[in-house]
Order: sequence, then structure tokens, then C-alpha cells
Amino acid sequence: MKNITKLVMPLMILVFIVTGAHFASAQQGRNINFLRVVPQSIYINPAIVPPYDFYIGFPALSSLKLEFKNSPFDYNDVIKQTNNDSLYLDTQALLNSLKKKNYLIGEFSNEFLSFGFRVKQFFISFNLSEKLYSNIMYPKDFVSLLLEGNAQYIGTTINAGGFDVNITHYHELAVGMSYTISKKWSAGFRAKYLVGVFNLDTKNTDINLYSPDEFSINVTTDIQVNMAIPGNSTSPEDSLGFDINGNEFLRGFYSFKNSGFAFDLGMQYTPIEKLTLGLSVTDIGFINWKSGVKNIVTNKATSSSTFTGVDIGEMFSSDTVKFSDQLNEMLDSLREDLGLKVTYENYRSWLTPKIYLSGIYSLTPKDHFGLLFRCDLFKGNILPALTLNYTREFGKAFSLMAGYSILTNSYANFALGFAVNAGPLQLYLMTDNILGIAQLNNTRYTNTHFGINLVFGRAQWYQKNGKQSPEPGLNP
Amino acid sequence: MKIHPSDWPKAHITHDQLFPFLFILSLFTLLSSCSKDDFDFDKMTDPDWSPTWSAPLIHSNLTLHDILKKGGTLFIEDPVTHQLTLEYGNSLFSQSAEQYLQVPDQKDMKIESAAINIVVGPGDSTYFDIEAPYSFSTSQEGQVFDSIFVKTGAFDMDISSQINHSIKVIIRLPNAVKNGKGLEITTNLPYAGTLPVQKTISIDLSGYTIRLNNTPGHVNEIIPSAHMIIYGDDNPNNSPYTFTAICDLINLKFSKIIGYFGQYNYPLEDTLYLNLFKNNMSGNIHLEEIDLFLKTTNSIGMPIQLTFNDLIAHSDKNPPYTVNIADPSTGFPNPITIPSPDLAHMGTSVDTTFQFGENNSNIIPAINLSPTYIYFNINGMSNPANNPAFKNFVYDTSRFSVDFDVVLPLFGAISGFYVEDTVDFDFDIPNQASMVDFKVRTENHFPLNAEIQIYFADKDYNILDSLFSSSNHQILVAAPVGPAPDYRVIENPPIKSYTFSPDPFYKEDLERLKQTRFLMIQAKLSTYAQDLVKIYADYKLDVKLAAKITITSQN
Repeated sequence: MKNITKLVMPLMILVFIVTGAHFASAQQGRNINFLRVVPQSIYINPAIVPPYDFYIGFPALSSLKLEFKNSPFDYNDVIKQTNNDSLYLDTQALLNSLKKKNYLIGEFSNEFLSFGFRVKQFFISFNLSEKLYSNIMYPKDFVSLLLEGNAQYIGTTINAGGFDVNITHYHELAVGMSYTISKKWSAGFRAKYLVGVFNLDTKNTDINLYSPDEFSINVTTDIQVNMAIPGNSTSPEDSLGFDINGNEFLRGFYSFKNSGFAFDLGMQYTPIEKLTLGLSVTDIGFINWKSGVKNIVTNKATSSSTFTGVDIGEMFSSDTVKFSDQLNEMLDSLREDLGLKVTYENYRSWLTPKIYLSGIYSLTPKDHFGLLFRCDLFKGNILPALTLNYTREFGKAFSLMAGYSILTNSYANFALGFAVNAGPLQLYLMTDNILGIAQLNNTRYTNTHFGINLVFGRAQWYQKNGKQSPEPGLNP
Repeated sequence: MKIHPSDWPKAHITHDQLFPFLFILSLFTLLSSCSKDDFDFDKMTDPDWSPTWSAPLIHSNLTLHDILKKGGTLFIEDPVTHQLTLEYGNSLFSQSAEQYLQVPDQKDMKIESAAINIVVGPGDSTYFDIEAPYSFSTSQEGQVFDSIFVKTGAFDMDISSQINHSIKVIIRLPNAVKNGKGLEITTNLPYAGTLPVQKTISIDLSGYTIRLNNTPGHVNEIIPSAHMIIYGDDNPNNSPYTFTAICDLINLKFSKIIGYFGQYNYPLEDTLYLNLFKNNMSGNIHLEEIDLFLKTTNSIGMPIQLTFNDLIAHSDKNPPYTVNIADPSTGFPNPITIPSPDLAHMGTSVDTTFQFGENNSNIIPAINLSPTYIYFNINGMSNPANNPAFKNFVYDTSRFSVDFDVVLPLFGAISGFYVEDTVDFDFDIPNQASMVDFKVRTENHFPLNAEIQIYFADKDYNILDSLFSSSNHQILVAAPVGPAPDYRVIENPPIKSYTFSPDPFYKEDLERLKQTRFLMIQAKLSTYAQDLVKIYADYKLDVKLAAKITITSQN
């Protein structure tokens, strides 16, 4: 038992904290929407027209992003100090902090190659990126069951599963196009060709336990978990374990067998000179997984079995029949009833679509106030977020922005970021929660987005054409 | 698209812009460095984590057959009423006939003559006959063998001739018949200038029947003989000549034998354990309609008499501890003669049943003693009248058996009937368990109350703890019973279930119970209202056991 707790405790902490230091989601941050001198702002809304004739991202450094979010608690909420300076996991605090649904989200993305250029009213952009995101919804019932046991749930149904998980690693090759329709309207589209590397995707993970009294437990399962692991073998047949071939695993990173498509759509409207409104949807798409696939499913749509204890009738008749043998026999029967089986069927997983609704009001040519509403749609879960932003331009070389975001169960998110242009060299660095960087142990959400671009012809096109940039604050 | 340096942004950082830029960059750097030592997992200890798990452990729907089938208890269900009867039985077997009845080897049957006065010229021949009547020896005085059907055996002959001529000898044993022909062996004894002329012959007697002459003046008699043909030659006449044939009948095993075999004793002894009372400590049980059946099966063609030296029921717990079931004062017949098949029914068995009940034995008080066993010591004897005129027969496999069946119709009353049993048990529970709480639910369709206490004992049988600390241990509540003659449980309204919760075991209790090696189970049983009940095959006991266990991670 001690070993279990020693294992579980760091595991939980690592899941919540360390994961955040290494992963993040295929979502762009929120405040980059307002730092429009950075070409990568087009990933929020493909209708955004970068204020350059041409840009090229510094290879592998043009957009490096880490993001982490654990919605219900931070490290300090659950890790407490004792009188003798040692630390412990406060399970009660952990339980108290949990909502019915809790989200653990992480992302890592890196752009290997990106560039864009203007052709008349069009702005064409390309990017080749590596993306790894992890979206997990974990229910409070599961943690409660783990930490408090099932005795408290006599007479009620508890779901020992109920997770929503989508962990995906893929390559993205995208081409985007923004079109300036008029002084007031612009629209954009981005098409993405996706090549999947790794995936874990749940359709159902229900394991419902119901004990009408202490003397029986009814287990009803509805499970479909799909996974694709490079080099995963189909042998041993029907095994829940994995047999990974090392060479095939490495080859899987360069395989094109798991392909998919996605697109982003967006438009912008400038009703008055100082106000720009935007609407976009991103990551509408899927990947078809065909290589290294494995499915863990229940035999029937809903499998059900009731465990009432071991029948000791046989033990009266024979000295050789033991309780442990009878128990194992019954558990085998239970497993059979639940009908868990392994298949190797191809499947499709969907990306997590995002909806953005934004508005920017330019009080002066250098002072811009912004509002962004974002909604992530993850397996039927709706994760809304609201961001307020102020961006100040110090001349044309330096832009500074600050923001505040309200996310699901996370209210102390203060953004800070800048972009600096020195000649054609542009460097930007931002975070949606500066406090999170300062105190990782006291944050539920943080991200860091960094990049270097070479940008050319800023606003020249507008000058040449005597037009106003649709982007606030970018007019010469 | 052509890009000219003039297209490059005209941006350059001024003093005014440098300060906020450096400030922000420093801020990022400073804040990032702040979080270096936030996580120190080396200081982590076990969490305060005490989940309580609940699980059903046992659920059985037990019939009486399930509970008592170990130990060889035989259940008989009345096909009409479905009332149950317990039957405990043992079978005793006598030796088979070939194990005690032997035909001894018959040795040195001499067919001989020392005065063979014959003269035979060259090219001529003559003959000479010798007969040698012989009476079989027997293993028991007075035995008479009329016919011996030989399963295996041999007829050996050592022949020796002093006749200086070649001769042919025909040895005959007309009493030994096979396929309607008497035994006859022909052999030549050619003379080659050396005397005596000798020969050894062995004949397999399997399948022969030896019919012995027991007519007046003869007892167990056979008559072997020799017929010699002497061929003349140029050898001188040296008569009188001597001829000897020494014959043995050896290793005779019979498949059947007829005659009179005398008196043999068959000591029989056994103990019949009654599983029902195995664990009884004390208390009263009163069963009605008990019977002891003695069933004999005899394939021996001899009358057999059984004498009961002992037929007693014994209890270590309940006085008077021993009851003589075969007490003559009850009218118990002792000895008894069991019949046998007659000559006309050779190869069959005769079955006989003797019933001992309330009126001719002590079986009722014997069973109400709650005996742990019934001890039998019987002596059988063949031909008790010792009358040789009574023809006997046996096959090699013939024997008799005696079956004792104690039949207990489950009809009676119990009050304060204590049983106790000790079983091996290891209290195998995780070290982190801080509380274990058992709960029992029973739905009892038997008209039987049970108060049960379970003691946890160490390897030296020292009591460490008990399951129930309160005085109420009644975990089985008797179902109510209807009137005579059926005495059936009343199922309407439906039988209620009862839930019992022993006191929880906490950390210190559990530590102590880790030394448990035995469970000592005590139960006090009584029938509904301590009155008469009958047990039927459809009665069941539904028993459920569940446990809650709290696991505490911090020790």
C-alpha cells in the first residue's frame, strides 16, 4: 500500500505540473490575437492580414509554444507542508478543489518552416509544424473513488471511468490565404494536411458501479478506447499489453499512413475606423489512423455484470476447493461478462475545434483595447474563455501588450508580451499568465510563446496603394 | 515579388522604446528564475489517504445437502413429500472363499509294483496294470470334497522302471475329467542298456474337475493307475521287475468346490462415524422414526451365523456416553443366521434385511445420544450346526457382506444443541488496514435457530478475540413451522432476511489478529420453538457476507 501511495502521489503531481512544463495544446494562446505585428496571429483568425509584404519564420524558432492547464487546482492547493518541513498531498483539499468535470490540457507546438507573402489583395501563408497536444477531462467521481473508496457510494451509481481523452502528436502542413475584400471586410481560409504519429482517443470510458447495498456490486461498462502507437504490433493477439517494435516505432515518425485534413475559417469586419471585429473557427478536421492501431472495446454496447460474492457451496463438499480459487474463478467470470476485447480496426479522431470572437478598439493609433471570447469544443465539453487586452505601440519597433483572461476555473491569468522589430528581424515573446511563469506551483494555467521572424515590407503595400491597413495601429 | 532594402521596416529602437523593452525582458527573465525551487519531491511523504472499500465477499444459497455432503452423508429425498432423510452406512465383507478354504497339495501318490513277473520273447509284447487308491488330505478335519473344479493346478509324475525292455506306460486318473474324458497320459520308456529308465512328466490340470469317491467306505478317494505294455527283445529275463510312478497334485486352486467344509469363523469389525454429530459439544436432540438396517448378501453355499459381540453407539460429550444397541433385553436377536443359496442356486446370492427399530433395539436412545460413532464387532460362523449331511458349495469368489445403514428421517426437535469446530485460518489482511467491518445477511428457510460465535485463536489455541462482543449472536432466525403431520415451514408471509453486524475491528484489533491461526466456531442450535420440525429438500439458507475495509496510507 505504501508503495502504491508513493507511486500515485508523484504521479498525480507530475501529471498536473511536470506535464505542463513539457506539453501544451494545439491551441494558439489568446493574447497573440492582439499582437498583430506578429505574423503567427493569423493562426487565431485566418482573415487577419499580416502587415508585411513578406515574412519568413526563423527555421524551427519562428513559433515555439508551451502551454499547460489544470483547471481545478494548482500545486500549492494540494501539496501542503507539515511542521517538520516535509510535504504531503492533502487529499481532502484535492477533493474539495475538484469540480464534476476537470480538465488537464497541455500543448507543445513548434514551427519548423513558415513563410507568407502578399499578392495584391491576397496574403498567402505556409507553415510546417510539429504539434503535440493532450486534452484530458477527468471526473471528480473517479478521484473521489480512488481517494475515499466506494463505501460512501452504497445506494448510488458512480462512474469509475467517465474520462474524455485525446492525446495526439501530428505533423501539420498548412497553406492559408487572407483576402482583403474591402476596407471593411476581409476573409481567410487555411487548409491543413495532417500526418498523425501517435494518438490516444476515447469514445466511451464508462465503468458504472452500483451497489444497492453492501452485498452486491453491479458493474456496467461501455468502453471504446482507440490508440495508435508507432511500431505497435497486433501480437500477442487480443492482449491488453503492448509489443512495440523499436525500428518500427522510429519509422512511425516519418510514416504518412495516418493522414488527415483540417481547416480554419475566419473573417474580419471594420465597421468604423477604430473598431475591428473578428470571427473564426479553427481546427475543424480529423486524422484517419491506420498504422499501429489498437482498440479496447466492450463486446456489447453495454456490458453488465453483478458481483455478489463467492459461492462457498463447493467448499463444503471438498477440502481442496479454496476461497481464493473460488474468488479467482468468479473474477474471471466477471471479466468475461464485461466483455473487454481488443481489436485492430482503423479509426478516425477529431481535432479540438475552437471558436474565436474578437473585437479591438483603437483609442489612439498606438493604444488598442481588445476583447476575445474563445470556446474550445472537446468531446462534448465546452471550455469557454474571455480575455481583455491592452496593446501599446512604442513607435514601429516595439509593441507591448498586457491582458487578463478568465478560463474555466482559473481567474488569475495576467498576460504580458512584446514584439520587437530590429530591421527585418522580429522577436516576440509572450505569456497568457505571467504569474504562472513566476510561480509554477501556484498556477493552474500558463503558457509561453516565443518566436523569431524576418519581416519585410511592413505597410508598404498600403502606402503604395494609398489604403488604410485593416489592422489597427499599423498605418504609417 | 522583389524585396528591396527600402522595403524593410523603418523601425529602429529609440531610447524611449529601449527602457520598456529591457524592462519587460528582465521581467520575463526574473519571473522565470523565481520558479526554480518550487518543487521538491524529496520532501514528499505519504499522503493522508484513507479510502474505505466495500465489497461483497460471500453469497451462497445453501441446501442441507450442500452443507453436509462432505463426510459421506447420503441424502434420501422422499419422492412424494420431499422430506429429507440422512443415511449413514458402512459395509463389511467376509473373506472370499479362496482366501480361507484351501485344497492341500496331495503328495506321494505311489503307483508301484515290485513283483512284476513277466516273460516276453523277442518281437512279442505283454502288459501289466497297477492301481493305487488315494484319499485326499484336507486342511480341516471332517471336510469332504465331492467335486473340485480346478482353476489352476498340476499333476506331476516321477516314473522309474527297472525293466530291461522298452515299455509304453499309460498313467490314468479317471477321477479327473475334462470334456467328458478322464485324465490319461501315455509315455514311452525305451531301454538302452541302463537301469533304471526314468521320466518326469507334469500335466496342467486347469479346467479339470476332480470327482472324489465318497461312497460308503470311501472318503475323498481317487484312484490313479498305470497300464504298461512291455516289448520283447533279446535281453535276458530279469523278472521280477520293479516299476514306480510317484504322483503329486500340487498348487490346486478351485473355481468351485462342492462338499462339506466344516466351520470357519469370519471376524468383522468397523466403526461408522455420524458426520451429523461430529462437532456436537452438548445438548439435546430428539429424532423420531430412526431405524438401523442390517442388510446381508451371501453367495457362500453354507449357512452363516452372525454373533454381535459389540454394537454400541458412543459419544464423548453426552451421558451415558455409550449405548448398547444390541441389548438382548430390547428383544434384539443375537445371534442371527443369514440364509445361503442352495445347490440348485449355485452362483447366486441371497439378500436379507433385518430392521432394528424402537421395538427390538436401543437405536433411538443411541442416536439421541448424538453419537460420534457406532462401533460394530461381529463374528460370523459357517455351518453353525456342523452337520456334514448339509451339502456346501463355494466359488472361489464367494463371500458374504453385511451392510449397516442408520436411517435418520430429519424429523425431530433440537434444543440447546451445541456444536464446535476448529478450522485453519490465516488473517491475511494488508498492513495498512485500519478498520475492517463485516456484515452478514441471512434469509433462513430452515426451521432452525443458530447462535454463532467465532473465536480467533493463535497457534497455541489461545483466544485472541471474538467476532461478536455482544451477547446477541443469533445470526439464523428459525422460520416458523406449520402443524402436524407435515411440520412444514410457513412461507407466507415471505421469510424475512436479517442483517447482523459484528463490531468493527480497528487497527489494534487487527494487529492482534495477525497471529490468528485457527478459527474456533461455536454454534448453539435449536428448532423453531424447540419443537418438532421436518426438514425438506427445498429448504435453503441464503447467506451473504460483506466487508468494509479502510486502508490508511500513513502508518
